[in-house]
Amino acid sequence: MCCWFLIGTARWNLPPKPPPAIEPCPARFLFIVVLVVSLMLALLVSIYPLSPAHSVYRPELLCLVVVYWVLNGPHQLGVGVAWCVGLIQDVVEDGVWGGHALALALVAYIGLMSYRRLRTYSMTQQAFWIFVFVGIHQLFVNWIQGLNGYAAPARYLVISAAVSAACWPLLVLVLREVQRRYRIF
Amino acid sequence: MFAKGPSPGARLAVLALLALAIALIYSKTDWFDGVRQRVSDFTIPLYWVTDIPGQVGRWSEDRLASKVSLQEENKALRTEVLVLKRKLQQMASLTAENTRLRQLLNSADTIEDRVLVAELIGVSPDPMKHKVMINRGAVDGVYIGQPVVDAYGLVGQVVEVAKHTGRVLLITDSSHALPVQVNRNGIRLVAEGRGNLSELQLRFVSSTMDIQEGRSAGHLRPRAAFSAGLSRGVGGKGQSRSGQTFCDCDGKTHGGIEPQPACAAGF
Repeated sequence: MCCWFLIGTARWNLPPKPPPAIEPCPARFLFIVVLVVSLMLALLVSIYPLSPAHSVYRPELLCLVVVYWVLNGPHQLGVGVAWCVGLIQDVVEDGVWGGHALALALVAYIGLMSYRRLRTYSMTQQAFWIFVFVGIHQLFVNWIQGLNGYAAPARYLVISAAVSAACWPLLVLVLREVQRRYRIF
Repeated sequence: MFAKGPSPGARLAVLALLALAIALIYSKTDWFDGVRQRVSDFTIPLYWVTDIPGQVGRWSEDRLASKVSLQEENKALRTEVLVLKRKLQQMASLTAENTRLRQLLNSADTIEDRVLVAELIGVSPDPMKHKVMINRGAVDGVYIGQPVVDAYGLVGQVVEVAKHTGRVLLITDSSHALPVQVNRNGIRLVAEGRGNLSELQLRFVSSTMDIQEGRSAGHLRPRAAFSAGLSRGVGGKGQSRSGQTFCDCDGKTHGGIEPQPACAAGF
């Protein structure tokens, strides 16, 4: 949303253009709806009540969904959108504000820099990269949470990254199907 | 379309600095406290939504319970009532005696008995953070610092109050410390949470203190102003090394503090 806003302002400086023949509006609207719904569901999963013993194995679904749309979205998510999503997650989870925002923005940036290569990888290779992505994400979130004295032991971070990587193929299957059904390419 | 505007790298730098600034302000100052109170009115409905599967589960358990299990439960409850009634009689005489003794001491410290029954609607998603959400808020008379008890004793205290909901910090949270007193001999200690639901840590226990492992550590009585008179059973497991004046003891909380569907905020 942030980058669309910036584009919107940048257009003021350009000479007026004829309107495009095919209206891209409904497709983009559909994409935004699917994006928001998927992010919302991931947010609900991230706060689903689990006992602390099981909570360690919770996949970082919101991070995975953001990475998926950065890699596969028709209009790519920018760093700004990821940052806003992260901040919402922080506010909802009642952690130190800014932790998930920083981590998701960073992961989105790495995704933006490498999506051309990552798209060509096989699912196993992608899952390995997701392990690294979520690992970086967890590292930064944990660092910020540590400001309030809630730093988790290192094995929690590794477990979370591994579970998230294991969930990646499933998530790709589901979201590909959604993309196919709603023709979001 | 990405040729316009600042590059992703520049955006990342700015946003990362902004996030760091927010994090520092959040953790080091109280500037965000007002916003947090107001925001939790919007975020807690999400916890309501995620609690729906659990509610459906509990509801169906109620509806689909078999006759035999109901009868068994009924029988167990009747037995429990008998035991509790006997204890209540003992309690009444002890309370009267306690009041007389307090009058002798001219002490104004009386134990009130006002209890508000609350239900648990959410658990903090972070496994390191032991906070729960209850369905009672400022409207119901919940206030910050109010002790929260379950059937076994003190569970935590209210740290945040929204209009219709409240957040409770459990005594096992790693940021919580609680002054306690051993019931048996009156020794005073500090029990700290360690981020583990079944453990508390007693800090600065001198090696000459009369604390024994297991049942003899018996009941530790919280002594904080917010919770005088409540108890939480703790069986201790000392780790003393010779040559040290102070050691830290691990204690097991009685019954373990499990986020249960119902708990009560008292006093």
